[in-house]
Formats: sequence, C-alpha cells, structure tokens
Amino acid sequence: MIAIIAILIGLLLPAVQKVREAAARTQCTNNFKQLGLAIHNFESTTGALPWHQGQLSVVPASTVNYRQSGVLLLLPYLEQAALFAKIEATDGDKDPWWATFLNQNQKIPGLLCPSDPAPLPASNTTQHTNYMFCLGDSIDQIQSARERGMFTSYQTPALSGVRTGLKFKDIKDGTSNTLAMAERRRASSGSARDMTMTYIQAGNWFTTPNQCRASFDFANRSFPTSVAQGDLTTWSGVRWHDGGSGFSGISTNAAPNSSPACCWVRWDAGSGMYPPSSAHTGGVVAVFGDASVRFITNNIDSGNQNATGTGLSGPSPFGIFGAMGTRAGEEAISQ
Amino acid sequence: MKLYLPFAFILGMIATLGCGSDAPKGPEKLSTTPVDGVVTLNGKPAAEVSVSLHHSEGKVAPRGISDKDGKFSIATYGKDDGAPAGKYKVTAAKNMTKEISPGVLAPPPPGGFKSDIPTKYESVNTTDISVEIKAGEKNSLKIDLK
Repeated sequence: MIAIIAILIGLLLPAVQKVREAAARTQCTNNFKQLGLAIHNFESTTGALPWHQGQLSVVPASTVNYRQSGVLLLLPYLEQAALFAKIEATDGDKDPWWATFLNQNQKIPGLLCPSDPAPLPASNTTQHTNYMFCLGDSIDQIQSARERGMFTSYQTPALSGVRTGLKFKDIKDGTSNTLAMAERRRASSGSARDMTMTYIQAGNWFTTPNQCRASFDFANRSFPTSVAQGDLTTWSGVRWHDGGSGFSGISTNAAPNSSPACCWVRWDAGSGMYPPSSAHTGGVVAVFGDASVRFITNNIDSGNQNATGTGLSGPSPFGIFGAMGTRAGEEAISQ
Repeated sequence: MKLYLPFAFILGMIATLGCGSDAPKGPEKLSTTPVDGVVTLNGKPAAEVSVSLHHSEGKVAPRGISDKDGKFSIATYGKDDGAPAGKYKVTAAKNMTKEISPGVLAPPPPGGFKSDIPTKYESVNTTDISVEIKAGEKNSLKIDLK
C-alpha cells in the first residue's frame, strides 16, 4: 500500500512541477503578447516605434542623460495610462537612478516573468523587469542611436523630448523576421555569481562573443575573483524604468542562456554583449516585430562565435539568431 | 522486497527523465604565459589605461590596466596569469569610469569623456600596434602611444 502511494507521489510530483513551469511560461508568453501589441498600438497612434532609451520631457542636455526606458512610452498601451500620467507629470525630466524619480517603486506585474527564481524587490524600492528591447547583433553598436535592431535611442540634445524612434519602413528585413523584445533573468544579488551577472571592464576589451565567455568559469559557474581589475555587477532588469542596455537590453550575438553579459568601458548604457536568458527549460520567450510571440531555443544557430562583432555592416556573422536581431541585415530567415 | 523492485525501477526512470544538463560548456581554456609591460603616451608613462590584446583567431581577450607609472600586468582567465602564446593586435583606451554614487555608474556626457589617447588606438580595426607573445619566456611589452 505504502509502495503504491509512493509510486503515485513519485509519478505526480515531477508532473506537477512541469505543469507549474508550463503555467508560468504561458503567463510569460501572454506578457510578451501584450508588449508586442502595445508596440503596435503605439505605432498606430504616433506613426513610429518607441525608442528603447530616451527622455519623456524636453530638458537641457546638461541636466539628464536620456536614460528613461521605452517601456514608459508603452505604459498607456499596457492599461497603465494613470501611471504614465503620473510619471509624465513628476518624473519626465529625471534620470532613472535619481531618488526623486517618484514612480520607480511602482510594481508592474506584466513586466515580470513568473518563472524567474530571483527574489522580487521590497515594495518600497525600485522595481524590476524581465522584458528587454532587442538592440541588435553588434558588440559596439548598441548605443548612441547606432543600434542595428528595430529600436533606437535618443540621446542627442536636439532630439530630446522626441517620443518616437524608427518607423516600420526602416525594418527592411521584415517585422516577422526581426526580434522586438526578449527576456533576461533578473540579477539576484551581488554574491550570486551566475549568468545573470554582467562582467565589466575599462576600455573596449573584447570583440568576439567567445572572448566575453573566456572570462567566465563555466565549470564552476563563476567569474575568477579578479581578471585584470574587471568587476561584476547586478544590472540585469533591476530598474524597470531604465533604458540603459545593461538594465533593459538584449543583443543577439550569443545564443540564449549561453553566456553571462559583458559590458564595455564600465558604462551601464554602453555597448557589449547581453544574451537573453530565462529559467524556462531549453530557451527563452520573445516577441517579434509583427507582435508574434515565439520560443527561441538555446541551440539556435548563432553563427561563428569567434567572428568579430564590432564595426558590423550588412548581414550578421552570428547566424540565424544574429539575423533576427538586425532590422536591415538583408538576411533571409527560414525556420 | 519484490514489491519494491518495480518501485525502485520507476523511481529510477523518473529520476533520469528531464534531467539532461544543457548548461553551456564555454570555450576551451588555453595555457598562458606571463606578460607585463609599460604603456607610455608620447614617451611619458600613461596611467589608468586599459590595454587589450586581440588574438588573431579571436579566442581570448587578455587585458590589463596601467598603474600611475604606466605599468600593467596582463590577465586572461585569472589575475596576472598572462596570455596564450600567439600574435595579437593591441588596443588602448582610457579607463573612463566615473562613479557618481554606490552602484550607479555615470554615463559619459554627450560627446564622451575627454581622453588624451588618440582614438585610433581604441579599435582593433584602426590600431597599428601588434605584438607576439612567446611561450616559455618572460614577455615584457613596451606600448608607446603617439
């Protein structure tokens, strides 16, 4: 009798775990669908796509850094019109890390993937996000309005206060072939050295995806204590309203879950390599430019990982995944 | 006991189901040889300069940062472990870190930080410095930026 019960429990428990993950992934998929539709509704209203990084209010260039996230622009289309109005009124001219950015403690459930095991922040602190804008396949062109993805940034003073970015006609590869947003696991804590960490280094220290990986000890899933005064940081997703690539960007130069992130010049809105990551089995969820939500497996073709990822133009050297990240790489994707 | 045999068998089956590790293994580790050196700008020691070695086959990114006397030690996988033997292009860029408050890095102002190092040394495509690291001997680099 006991044995039969034990067998039943043994059979059921893993199944229950799988069902729970399936439910979490469904929730995550729904969140992506909402974001994809929000991008399209934003485009219908304004005639252009949102930027991934910019500033809501016109302000003197010396005051702020144009670091607000494009997610702020999407709030009215995510049933958060009231929050958008509050942010516009009180926070539009502030940098995301300022203590005076009043609405940074607003939790938005639609920006959180329930599969992510990282603990959620306390309610009176800055809230998190799992959903990141795709900034292209390059290692050095994911900043300063040179992004190869379908979103751009507005940092130049002449363009501050402009609330739109590229247009659909700029996506020459086709919206159904171009990645809009994908997920990253949120960085959990300073001591948890895993793939949610970002490795940062002064200078432009790597040019290929494998050079970034070489700093990481895959066997022990940690970074060595000190590689030439490099440093680790917990950026991924820990400020939902920050548009900096370290906080809310992904790049398609390395397959999902294949590497920690590496950042150039110790700048949290700077270039580098930010692969998508998730706690789902076998890959990440993503939404494409046509608002279709798809699952991208970890073993997607990511081309030559020893290829130089700087100064790119034309087709991506990083395979099908790299091609997905570019808006005008002139690659044909069949899958 | 007979009753428990199928039980153990089923448990064993469950234990092996869905447990395949898809953890990526990462690139192979190459053996390194110690490398140090000194970086100068127009003949004078240059402090706080990030020196990066770019391998001709693109497998590693050895690097180091100079101290106030311009001296640096190269690391690839761990502190001061040097670099694998081979031919490298060398890039050099100013350490442009500016902390504004704990945990927050200041972004460069529009136009970027002021650096007195010529920008041609920042990119592997434009730098004109190259070195060869030889295995089994002490490698001391003299990087002179002009």
